[in-house]
Amino acid sequence: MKKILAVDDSASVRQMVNFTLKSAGFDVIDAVDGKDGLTKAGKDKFDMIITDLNMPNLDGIQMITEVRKLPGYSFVPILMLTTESQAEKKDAGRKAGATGWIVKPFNAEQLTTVIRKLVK
Amino acid sequence: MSGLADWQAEKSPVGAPAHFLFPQSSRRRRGAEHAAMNAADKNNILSKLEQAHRDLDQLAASSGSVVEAATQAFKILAGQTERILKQAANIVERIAQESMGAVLGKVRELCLTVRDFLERRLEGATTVLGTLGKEETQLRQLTSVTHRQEGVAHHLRALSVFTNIEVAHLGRTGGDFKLLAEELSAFSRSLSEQTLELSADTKNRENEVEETRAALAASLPKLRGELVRMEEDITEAQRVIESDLSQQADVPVRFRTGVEQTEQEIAGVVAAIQAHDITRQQIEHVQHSLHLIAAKISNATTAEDNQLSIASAGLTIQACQLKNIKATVENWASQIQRCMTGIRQLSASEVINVGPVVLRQERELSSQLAEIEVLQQKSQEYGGRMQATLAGLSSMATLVEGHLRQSRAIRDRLQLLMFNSLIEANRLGRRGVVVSAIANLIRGVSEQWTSITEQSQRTLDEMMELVQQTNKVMEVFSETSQSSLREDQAETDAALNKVRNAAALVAAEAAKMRTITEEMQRSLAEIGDAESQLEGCFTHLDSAAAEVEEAIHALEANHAAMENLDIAETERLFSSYYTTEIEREVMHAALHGSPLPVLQQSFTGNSVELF
Repeated sequence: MKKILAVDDSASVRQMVNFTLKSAGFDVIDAVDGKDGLTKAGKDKFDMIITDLNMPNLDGIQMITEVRKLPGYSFVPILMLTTESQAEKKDAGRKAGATGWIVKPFNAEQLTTVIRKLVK
Repeated sequence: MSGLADWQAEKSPVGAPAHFLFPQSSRRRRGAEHAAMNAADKNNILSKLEQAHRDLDQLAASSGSVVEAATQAFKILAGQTERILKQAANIVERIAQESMGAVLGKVRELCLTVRDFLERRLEGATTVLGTLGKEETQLRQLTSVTHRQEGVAHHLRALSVFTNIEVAHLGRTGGDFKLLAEELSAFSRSLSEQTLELSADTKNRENEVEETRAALAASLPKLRGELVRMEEDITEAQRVIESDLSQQADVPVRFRTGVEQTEQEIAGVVAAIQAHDITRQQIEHVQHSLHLIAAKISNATTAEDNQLSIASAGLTIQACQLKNIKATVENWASQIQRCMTGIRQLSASEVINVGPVVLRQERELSSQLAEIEVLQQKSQEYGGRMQATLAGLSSMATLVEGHLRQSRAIRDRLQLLMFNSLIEANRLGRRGVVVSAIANLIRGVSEQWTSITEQSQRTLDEMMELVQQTNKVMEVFSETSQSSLREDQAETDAALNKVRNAAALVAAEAAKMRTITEEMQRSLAEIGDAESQLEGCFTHLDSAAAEVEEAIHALEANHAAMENLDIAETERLFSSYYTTEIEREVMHAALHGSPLPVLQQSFTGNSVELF
């Protein structure tokens, strides 16, 4: 079963991501902020990471930059799930190593379809 | 967004310049003395901002707990919905495959086979009735034969007496004639016995035939009437079932559609819960801004202070943001309420009724079809009776054949007697005159008897022909003729059995669905308080907005010149917190006098953009 790390400081968003992806047959681990996410990515191997942008301790872009430095994470798909939609933010995310961008709220069916293709 | 539009219309006429933020009262005061804001007014404004901050804290807490409860409940509801969908799909599929509609085709075939079967039997019975009529004619012919035989027997008895007299008269010279006389006497007795036997057999058979004819003549019309009634009843049952079928087939489909809609609503709730997270961020940004504004007001030293302009502009922006937040909350709250309403209305009762209705229809149809079995048994009884009667015809023919053999033997013996009599008469010469006369009489009897024998032969031939014709007709009453009917009955029974099983499955699945819908209602009841809590959210929001409005009025009443608002600086200050496009649009509209953005939030969710 493919394993996904969901990073967001909002409990309700983590629950929705968890619920959506578990219903689709994925194993999902939560992290409460960027620092927690980085720690968990270092301890375990994930097939995909979904992360918020604006978080305390370590924001999404900083976390992606650090995760990409971890062994085995150069090509792991990382999606940003955020309320932000500005071009400069997306550009920053892409440069940090994000694979894709989703503006909240996400479309559950579309998200699981894209994730299935990315983790194949 | 009518609230925002109303607000804009109230505060800023169409085409108003960029300073629309500054009310007439403020512009009238331009040129008035530039007095400092007194401490009381400042504290008043600050306390309102503080109150607004607290209201927003309470709003965040209450909406958070509502959403938390809704999240937990909807996760469970989503699983339950999926289970019901599967069961509804099972029911729909099973009803499509093994519904009463599938049975009706078999029933129609069965009815046609039954009608054909029974009509052939009825025709057969009618033919047999005709056969019995013909047999009666033949029996009457036999009766006339027996009458003639009786006449001959009587004649022969008289001849025997006459012969004995002549034997006595001839004495010892009669010799062989005495033997003839004894033979004639014995022969006469034998013929009488045979005649009586034939007469008795014929009479018995006549009675049997008459009884059967009467019974058939009475019961055939009744049987035909029962066949017609059976057909009408089954046709009516089929009509009733057909008219119900389309409605019933729709019930699980309607239920499934309702559940699918609920599934979509639940998916919308997933997006609504995320929208709440956006609201939470927006509330935090407003609180940050209020904190900044409070600092500006606190730090302002004179009424002309630019800080107050920024503060006033900032308050107006927050008032607009709060109205936008209210519209957002209304949106996701109504999505949750829509879903809750849909679940409350979800009821498996119609689906639950499908199983019992189908079973009732199956029972009614089965009881109609049982009439076929009854009719079949009745026709079988008639068939049995007719077979017995016609077997009697065959037996009668065999008896007549036996009688005919005896008759021929009698004829031959009579002829022998006649010849012997003539020989004896010849031997006796003149004394044999009476014997010669007796011989002639015997010849006369012999000729009669020969005629009787021929008549019996003709009657027998007719009987044998009738037996052959009847054997053909009786094939419709044989076991093999029932094979097609039995096959159709077996197929119909099997189809009805499938319907019973399908109805039982539907009833079982529907009972599970009812249990699940009741569980869903209970899950919903657990967040039932959410609606009143959501009302509480609006109360906190309205209260915060009212505090901000009052702060704006209080600031305007005290603040003099505001021409020096640095819009770019104001934007920079307040937008640094913003993480959503809508917040930036609201701020821009509030600062530049453009129409406020209309909230177009849908709950289908946004797609992934891959780099």
